[in-house]
Amino acid sequence: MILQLIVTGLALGSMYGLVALGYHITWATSRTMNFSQGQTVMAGAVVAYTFFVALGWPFVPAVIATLGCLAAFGAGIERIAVRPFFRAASPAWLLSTIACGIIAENVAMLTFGKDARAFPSALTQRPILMGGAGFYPQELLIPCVGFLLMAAVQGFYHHTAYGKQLKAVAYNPEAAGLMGIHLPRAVMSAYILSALLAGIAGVLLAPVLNVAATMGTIIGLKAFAVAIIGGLTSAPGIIVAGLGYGLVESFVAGYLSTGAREIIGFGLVILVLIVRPWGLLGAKPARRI
Amino acid sequence: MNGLALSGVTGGYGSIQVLREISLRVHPGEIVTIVGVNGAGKTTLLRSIAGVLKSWRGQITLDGESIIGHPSYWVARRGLVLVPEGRGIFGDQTVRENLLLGTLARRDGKDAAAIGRDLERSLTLFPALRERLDGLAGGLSGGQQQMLALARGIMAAPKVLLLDEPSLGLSPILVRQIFEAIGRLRQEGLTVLLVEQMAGQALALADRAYVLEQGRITLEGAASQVRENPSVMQAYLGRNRVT
Amino acid sequence: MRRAGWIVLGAAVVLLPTVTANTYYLYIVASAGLLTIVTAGLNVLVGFSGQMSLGHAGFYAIGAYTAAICTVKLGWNPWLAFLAAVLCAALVGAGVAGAALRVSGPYLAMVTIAFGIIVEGILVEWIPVTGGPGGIFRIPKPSLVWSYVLIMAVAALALWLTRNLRHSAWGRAFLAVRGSDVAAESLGLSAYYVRIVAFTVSAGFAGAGGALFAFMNGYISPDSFTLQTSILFLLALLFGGEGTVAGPAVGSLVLTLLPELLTSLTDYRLIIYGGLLMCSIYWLPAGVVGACRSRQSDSSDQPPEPNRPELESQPVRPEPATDRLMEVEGLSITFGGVAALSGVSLSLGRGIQAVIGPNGAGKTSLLNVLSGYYVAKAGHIRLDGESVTGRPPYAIARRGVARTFQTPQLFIDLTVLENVAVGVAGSRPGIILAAMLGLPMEVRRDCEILQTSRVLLDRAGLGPWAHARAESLPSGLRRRLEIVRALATAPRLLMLDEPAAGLSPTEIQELDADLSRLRATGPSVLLVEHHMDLVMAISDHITVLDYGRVIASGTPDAVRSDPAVIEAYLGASA
Repeated sequence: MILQLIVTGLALGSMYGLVALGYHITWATSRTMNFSQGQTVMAGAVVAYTFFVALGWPFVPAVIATLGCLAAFGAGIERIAVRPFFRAASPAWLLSTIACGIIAENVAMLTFGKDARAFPSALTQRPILMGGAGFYPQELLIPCVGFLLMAAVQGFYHHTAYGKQLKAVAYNPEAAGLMGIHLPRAVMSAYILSALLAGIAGVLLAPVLNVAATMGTIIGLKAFAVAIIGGLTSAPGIIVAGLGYGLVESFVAGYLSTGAREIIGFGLVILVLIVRPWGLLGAKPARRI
Repeated sequence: MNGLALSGVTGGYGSIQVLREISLRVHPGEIVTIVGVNGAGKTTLLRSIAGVLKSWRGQITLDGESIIGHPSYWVARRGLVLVPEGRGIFGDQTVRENLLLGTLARRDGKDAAAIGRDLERSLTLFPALRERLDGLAGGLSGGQQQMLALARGIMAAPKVLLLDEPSLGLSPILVRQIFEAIGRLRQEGLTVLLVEQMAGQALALADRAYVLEQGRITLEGAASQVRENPSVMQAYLGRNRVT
Repeated sequence: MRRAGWIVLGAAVVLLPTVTANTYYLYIVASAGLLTIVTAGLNVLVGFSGQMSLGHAGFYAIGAYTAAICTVKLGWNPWLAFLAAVLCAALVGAGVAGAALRVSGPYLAMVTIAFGIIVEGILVEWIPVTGGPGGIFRIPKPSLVWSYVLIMAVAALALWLTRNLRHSAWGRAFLAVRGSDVAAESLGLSAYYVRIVAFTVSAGFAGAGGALFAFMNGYISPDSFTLQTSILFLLALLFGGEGTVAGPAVGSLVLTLLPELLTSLTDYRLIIYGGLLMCSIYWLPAGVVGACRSRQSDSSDQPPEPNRPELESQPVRPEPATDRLMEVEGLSITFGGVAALSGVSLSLGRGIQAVIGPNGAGKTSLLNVLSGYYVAKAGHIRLDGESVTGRPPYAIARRGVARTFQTPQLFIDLTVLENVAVGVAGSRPGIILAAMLGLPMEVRRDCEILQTSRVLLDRAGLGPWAHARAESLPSGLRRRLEIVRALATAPRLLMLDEPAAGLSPTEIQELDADLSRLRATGPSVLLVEHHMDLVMAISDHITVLDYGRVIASGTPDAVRSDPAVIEAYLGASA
């Protein structure tokens, strides 16, 4: 039982962490966020379903096509909903990205349908039995891919030339511009990367959760909660918070009830923010007079 | 027209006008300094030239090409690099990474040999950086951060290097070191527009100088002449009240 | 034109039940009325105080369930239940605000979202009390016409209350905090407290809307109180025009009617909502009402030139017992390992004392520590013998210390007159309920505040600008307005942070004259400035900072000839 809860918790938690990293990446480079990140998760699942199941494409081209669509989605959100309001101090970008999410969900509902569909996968056919617990190979695959991707993102930021440029933009956009870094392109890259992470999470979760137009909202919200608990400015904090949130959820659902899961999960968010207003590892923004 | 030329540049922050009809020239190979008290508009002027702030009116050309109205990254890639007030180093990256970020604005297509030469040149100029090459830039002292900012500017191999108050917050010994380094750069043929509050040192170093008062250029000439002019002292320490 | 709009709206609402007996129309308009009640409250939070909530469905739910439980399970009178619903929502609102408003931006959005989801979860899970997913049935329900009348009356009341609030000292306090919480604190307002009040009022309105929703339908279930509902509230407000009194009514009407007109397009409902939201953000950033208003004001005449100014403060507070108004001892503060101030001591008495020094010497840091915005690492600050070390800015302001800022921090949503009125009211905006109800004592007090402000403005030569928005002032006058506003708090000590920056030579001469007059009649002045002509001419005493230390101190002449000062400014002439 405990083993099973841990596996489920890590699987979900690593996905929350992955999606939450998307919030962090765009926040760090532009102090804006894609509030339709949850719908991006859904888009990943729906598009993958379309290519892989509905159109019957082989696995690899289907995944590549899906990633292409997600990158375009991220770039589109940045161009339409964020860039026009980039310098405005108002939270217009918050509302415009929510609006894009609402529209995306409705479009998915019209094209994909209102009902949830199962995503067939070889990894959810037969459960593995281990120590009295049973789980699908997919549930083991999810955290592995999740960890790999999180490590890859960190590697991209710390060890590639373009990653270092993005890091410089996050640290001090004005100085980065003076170095010759193309700022609008950097922000767009951050949005594309962020959409890719969310979309991959959608593809990975599809076989476990089923695909539906409305599947994204709650994942997006929980990932946002994770990003806030961890501290929007801290990637390590977010990864820790993601795993922690997944485990808490899994154990509450296992020992109390699924209904209590949301109450306790979001209650914890408020508690954490009361104790640490800028997240576990986040830094308080300096007050400028 | 080679070098940097401004004519009739007007600008400021938001709706507040700071610069009033600024005209100046920086010829290739020169060190030109702009001196003036805090608040005279020196930083605003450099930020307007570098494209961080949008100028309202006027002309800015670099080697005859208009650079006004373009964003900072565009201006940097044309060969006009600003070392900002407050240094603007990236504290979460190493000294080496900071220096390499400086090379983005190079116009020689990232020629590895040339980059290596410039790296060696910067490290010879600032030996303190060589010891800390793989340490985080955020861990450097204030003086070392200023050296890093200067070195990073050199790595861009700019046509004109703009320096905003390199002496800010540094002890007198460090200020002298920084100024000596700038002097050596001139010998290597670098063109510099230096904004300084420490008028004494800046004027000793520069070829030509402009005095900025309340957003206007009130005096210009050879640095040695400007230095002798009593009105400079007055601009700094105040005239008697006109009654 | 504005009045005509209200009359048409009012007449339509009154006449509707007499024209049609069709319950469908009544129901739709009543729904718009409910939405108006909630968005009018949300307007207090978003439009006035500038905060965001994505969890107002939670307060709506608390109102609805309190009303339902009180009537169905406890058998209370519906009116009593309605009051209980409003109070309960407001109380929970105050609690949530206490936790939520310590953070801002996305963090605040998260806390409010979390609150909404928790409430929704509790509604589903706490079956014995809330009835679980099935909800609560058989809530006493008046006839639809009576519901309609009641809801419309409350909606009108809600708009009237927010209108009164907007034009009261509290309304100005909200908009001040929205415009610049830093400046609001310098006038004695605690931004945190003011925002909590806004949140509480706003939650109370949502509770009222929820209770009426329960009575109108006779049945409630958790489905009506989701995150989507919260987003709809916000959307209605922003579409109508946040910060305007009529905005909630217009937005609610459009957002309720539109989907009904397009019933054939139910499947596209979300696309329409999303598209509408995008369009309003792009083309109507101030909402429908805001757009109409700005078109009207565009045609108005430019305000005339200001008169010759004469700055005067309000009657000065009783003279301090000692000559040492503020005493500072061994103040140190560091930023990122660099010492901005180290061991600074000084003592301020009557007259004008200036602090000068090269760029980066720590002058503004000193001012920010003295006024409470930065907390010193070491050292003591005593104001008239009382320690104020580590006290927040508004507490120091309440003890008679006013200040201005390097870049003028005006309340841009307020008029010039109202800016000064925030200073006059200071930390005492009055009783909020009385202000909302427009009680005579509150109205009288407010008249006095505005009259005092008007006198101060006229004396400063800004009278002709009184009703212009502060945003429209030219930069030279912005500084003057900021000084007038600071003086309006009747301070004992006025701290000016580079008041001459960006002024033209004529304006500097005027400032010089103003300051000389203040020296004769007004409070003590601490002047941070680098315009030396000015400093040397008007200061009684000058302190020179360099590298965060005091390097010289004395009369203007002594300081000017001090070799250490010359070296600090010009550098050693090599």
